[in-house]
Amino acid sequence: MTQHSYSNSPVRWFARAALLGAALWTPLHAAEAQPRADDSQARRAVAFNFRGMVNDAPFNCATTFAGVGRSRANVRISDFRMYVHDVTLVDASGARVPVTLDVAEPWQDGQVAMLDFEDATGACSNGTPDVRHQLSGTIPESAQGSWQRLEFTLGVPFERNHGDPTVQPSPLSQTRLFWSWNAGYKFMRVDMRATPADSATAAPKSWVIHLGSTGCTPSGGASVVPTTCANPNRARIALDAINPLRDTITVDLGALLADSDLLVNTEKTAAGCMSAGTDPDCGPLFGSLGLVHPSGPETPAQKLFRVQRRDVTSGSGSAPH
Amino acid sequence: MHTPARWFSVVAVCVLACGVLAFAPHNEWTWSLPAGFPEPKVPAGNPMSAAKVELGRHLFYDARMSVTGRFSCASCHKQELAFSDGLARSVGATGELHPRSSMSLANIAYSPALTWANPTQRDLERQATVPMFGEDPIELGLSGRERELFAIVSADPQYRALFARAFPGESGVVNLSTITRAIGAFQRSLISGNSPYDRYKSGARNAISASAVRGEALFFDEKTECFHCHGGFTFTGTVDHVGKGFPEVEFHNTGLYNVDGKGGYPAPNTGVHEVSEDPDDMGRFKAPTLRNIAVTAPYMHDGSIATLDEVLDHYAAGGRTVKSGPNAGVGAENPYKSEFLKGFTLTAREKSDLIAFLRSLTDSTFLTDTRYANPWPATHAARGNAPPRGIR
Repeated sequence: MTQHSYSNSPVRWFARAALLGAALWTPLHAAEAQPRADDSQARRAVAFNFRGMVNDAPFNCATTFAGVGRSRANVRISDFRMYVHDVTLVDASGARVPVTLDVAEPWQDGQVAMLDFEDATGACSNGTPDVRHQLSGTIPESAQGSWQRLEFTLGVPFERNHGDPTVQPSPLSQTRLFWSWNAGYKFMRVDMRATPADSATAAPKSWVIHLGSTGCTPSGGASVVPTTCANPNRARIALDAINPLRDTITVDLGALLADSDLLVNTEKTAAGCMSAGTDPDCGPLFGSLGLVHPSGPETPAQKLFRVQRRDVTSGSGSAPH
Repeated sequence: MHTPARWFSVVAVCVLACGVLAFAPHNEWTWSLPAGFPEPKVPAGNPMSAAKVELGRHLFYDARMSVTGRFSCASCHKQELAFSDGLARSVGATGELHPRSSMSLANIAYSPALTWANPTQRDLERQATVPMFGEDPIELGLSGRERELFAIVSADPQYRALFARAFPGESGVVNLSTITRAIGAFQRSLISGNSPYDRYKSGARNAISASAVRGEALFFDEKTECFHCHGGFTFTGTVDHVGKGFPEVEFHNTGLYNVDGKGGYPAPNTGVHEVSEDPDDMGRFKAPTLRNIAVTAPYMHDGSIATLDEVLDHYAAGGRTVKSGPNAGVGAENPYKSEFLKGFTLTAREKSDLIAFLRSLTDSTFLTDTRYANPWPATHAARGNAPPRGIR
């Protein structure tokens, strides 16, 4: 059966598969990517650099970080990824300049970007070896960059979030970020195991962050995708007083979790926070993402991202810009 | 591509196995539908073909489709149990206990809403990504392992042939889209409509017992209201097909629980509420098909009722009372309960008549049809008999 119906060598077969993949890739991008404001206009490249941290220590998959969260737990982290879109620079006069994200396979598809801090080593064995600490894109050459603010949205745009995961291109093809039971994607994924600081023998407790849209339902019987989500849970991040092309943006899980207790999980809820509105463990976490949650603070303010200024002349303080 | 001799052998096998499909080329499909069954709706992006169904069958039964190499779709969807698994709650590849019970896949092609209580799950292709990649709970455990999966499938010479035939316009490419489309096509082919009751309705007056005939009358009576949620040729209110105009999707609270006196169901099985977070959706679940119901015990979304006899007790009481423990409560007083759960009384004979009717819905040909059976040779790695390995 195999001989008569398929005579090509495996190599040729793989090559054809790859070619087809490439052929499928392009039209998807053409359809999904944000249109460039003006293709005739000269554009200049910009890039924004991120750095994963846990309080004062650089993130990695091997370290057990001490003093995390309200109970100052010891924490091993086995995943640390997120999606970002809708990047905007604001100049000194308040003018907003949208950044067109590059197509940079596999991290960016022109509209959605993934930041990936895990490298598949240590505790992160379910991850991917490659990391991505940068957003890259372009702005009009004419934009005069004296910037006061960088904005972006943590999450996946609505149409893409509910697009068919079996055909979406990377970075939306990474199954570790699929959130199919909610017909969408995890906007951010941080998997952790926590132990009390004063016990070397206590069994680690799982505490995971799966951020995504919840309460999603189709509005009509014939609809195949959600048309509304009661809780979109996309966090708009605004970083002021930044020289975005020079400063590094710290992504600090220690700050994010400062108000959460990683040694406690409310009974009959997901381990940690999987974004349920009914899960009290999500309250402090959502607060630190700047998101409203029934169990969270009334005036949430994001703490995950902050600007780490880099003074090119003295190495201390912050240069005006 | 095909020599005459080869083609003849394919046709010959198909004559034995495929009935009316015998003369359909592998890139075509002819539905072989029981009397009274309309044509299923098929997504535009995944037309049926005999080759695609055959590929999907291989994938459905392939134990390499899991993190352990020993677990497949069929581990929780066994043909002899109408593609359910006989457990109160299913167990995934890594041993994790699922919150819910495996559902029968019989006539799933007609279901516009999939799984127990998730209004966002509308087509089989996308739904397949839940058991494949879901992590809460882990079912097949493939999250983050898609490249390994594609490599295993691509390396199997049999799959090379199957993919080439199933997806000739796409050069037989192995990716998540072709894999899920093939599995979806196979699932749509799982048509069950040859029960004794079907033969009875087609004129074979002796196909079911006199008791079952009396049970039929009770089933379709306003006294029991069974048919309101389990009506139509699929015996479920959630149904769609060609010519229907619009799909019907129904979820009902049947008063199984009332843990807080306010209608609460035990987490995480709060029904549609788990997805929608709408308080009014508390405890709303899809009415499963009653076809083959006698072989799909235990019952309810969490397998919490062992027998059909006890299921009838629950409905007769207009809801279940759990006397003690964390789930204690009077389900009959659940404020979200369906209006059709009004309770009724049955004599012992009426009860056995109803059960005789439900048993007459078992389609033994469906449970043994070789078209739906495991296609892999007993010694093949796809059987999952090899030492533990697979996608790690």
